[in-house]
Amino acid sequence: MYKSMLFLHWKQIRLTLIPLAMAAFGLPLLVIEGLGTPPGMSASSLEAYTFMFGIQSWLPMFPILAAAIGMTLALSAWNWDHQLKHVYALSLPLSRWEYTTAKFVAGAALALIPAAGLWLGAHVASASLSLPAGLNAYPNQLGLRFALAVLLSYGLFSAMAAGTVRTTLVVASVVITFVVVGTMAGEVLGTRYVWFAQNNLVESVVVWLAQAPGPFEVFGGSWSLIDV
Amino acid sequence: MSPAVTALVALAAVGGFRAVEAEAQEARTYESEESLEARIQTLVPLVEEARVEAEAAAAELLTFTRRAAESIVALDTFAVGQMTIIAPVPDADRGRDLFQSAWETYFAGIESASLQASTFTFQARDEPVPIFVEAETYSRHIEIEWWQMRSDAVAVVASAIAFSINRELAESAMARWIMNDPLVDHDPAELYRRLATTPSRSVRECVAGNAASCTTSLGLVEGTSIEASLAEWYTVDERRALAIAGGGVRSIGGGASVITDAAAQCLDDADPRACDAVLLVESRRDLTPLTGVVRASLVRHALGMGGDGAWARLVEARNRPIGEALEHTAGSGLDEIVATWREWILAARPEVHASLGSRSFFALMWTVLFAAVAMRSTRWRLG
Repeated sequence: MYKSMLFLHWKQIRLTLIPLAMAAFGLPLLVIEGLGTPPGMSASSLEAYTFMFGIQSWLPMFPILAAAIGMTLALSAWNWDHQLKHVYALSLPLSRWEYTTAKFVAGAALALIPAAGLWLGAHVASASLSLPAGLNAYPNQLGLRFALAVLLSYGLFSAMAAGTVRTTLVVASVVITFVVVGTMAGEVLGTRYVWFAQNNLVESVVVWLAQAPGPFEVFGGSWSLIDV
Repeated sequence: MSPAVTALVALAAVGGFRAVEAEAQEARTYESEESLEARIQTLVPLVEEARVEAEAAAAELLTFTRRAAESIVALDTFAVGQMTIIAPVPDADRGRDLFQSAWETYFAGIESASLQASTFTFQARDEPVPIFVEAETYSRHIEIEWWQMRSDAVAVVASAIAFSINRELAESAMARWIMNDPLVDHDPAELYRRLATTPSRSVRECVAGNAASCTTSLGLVEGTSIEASLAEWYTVDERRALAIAGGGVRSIGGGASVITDAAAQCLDDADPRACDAVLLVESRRDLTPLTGVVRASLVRHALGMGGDGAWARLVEARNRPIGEALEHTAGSGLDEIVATWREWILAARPEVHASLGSRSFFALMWTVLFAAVAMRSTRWRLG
């Protein structure tokens, strides 16, 4: 069953996944473009400044790309189920958890393709220049972080995509309502109650989500290919 | 009387008349200066009266505009620590909280005269309202976004307070040494990055464990010539790179033949002393490896070591040699100040990807949890 799921998913997404994998491979190379000196040539330590500031603007692209790949994989995984009104899935001699697990593992295996692309790209980028003294390249760590972020994004959007459109709309509405109403309520209540002036509920929730043990911690932190 | 005599008498008469007229003219001029001075004297009270009237008009305008502003939104004036803050009433609680937090976190124990003489205006809104402060009062205006995260807003307020406090060091040797950077709490991880990426031999030795090299890199060793210091701070390659990057080589024209030779020699890599010559003559910047924010962090560290009264001692010693001023502030020797400052920075070495293990665990755990959520479906209840 797993092989069928993998094949079906691959057929569904290959035209999208290959460009995404190429983008993941190319992103580390874009980050270092114009920086450093070719291997074998002495790297001026003055360039350490250039490195530190030159790569900063690219760093948010890594988690964004990871989230986009995870979302694409998740939506494509459940796409044909929704199109066929789940008849195929319900006709199989499988329980729901067996079916979902097979589908999820197949998607996770496909997620490794762009993650491997980024890992390879990071290694090629690191090997293509001499680093100034004081700086190190972290291609393996960046590759692992990217893989985890893709998996997490895939898991989150899978959970949403597996449900009905109504469920997805309800979840999205709850989130948006919480952010908007929570912010406005905090603003209004803050004029009357010191606690609300001192504590931003939406901010607290966002911080919890973005820090361990919150789910999105892997998206925060350092995405540097090159750092001290 | 002969015609000749008559002519002579007539000439004498005309000459005598002109002399008398010139004397009278001179007397008239003398009189007009006197009268002018007298008239000027009469104007002095009028000028004073006009000045008082202008001040009254300005005060009236200020009152009027303030009332106009207050008609848009009521203002609240409150005190936090030594600071006076004016804020629109709806923003007052938030302002009080942010100032309180910034004060307690970063500036508690600092007795600053310039802070007492300052007024801060604060607002957190999409469309800021005009808040007027007397012209003689030093004021700083702080505007934050209403949605801004508290930690970021506290940092904005702390920075404003720091700039206000720094006024007490203005124009002093200490202010010049820290390049007027605000004495806020610095992120040691960011300082570590600065140290690790500073292209200097002495800074690398400092990071590697030699605290004396930190003192050298900060330019705190007295009585060393700039040539000797350059050799201690930078390797030959670094000096060459600095000389070229600093623009010394490119900016040398034909008019300065000595420098041109030095620049050519520096470029040819034949003589390191040539690069030093370019650096010393052409560079208009401080060649000390560690400057600005790094130095400010050391002063901040000394203030922390000094405890109560440290700020007053720093202000008192602001024009003394920097090492002496730091010792006076911290109440400790310079070596100890620099050594503990170095340890503080090195302990905060950025983790970069160090905690990826725990991150991996949490990321996988949440991924499995999300997958578990997908296991449930209303469509399968019948099955």
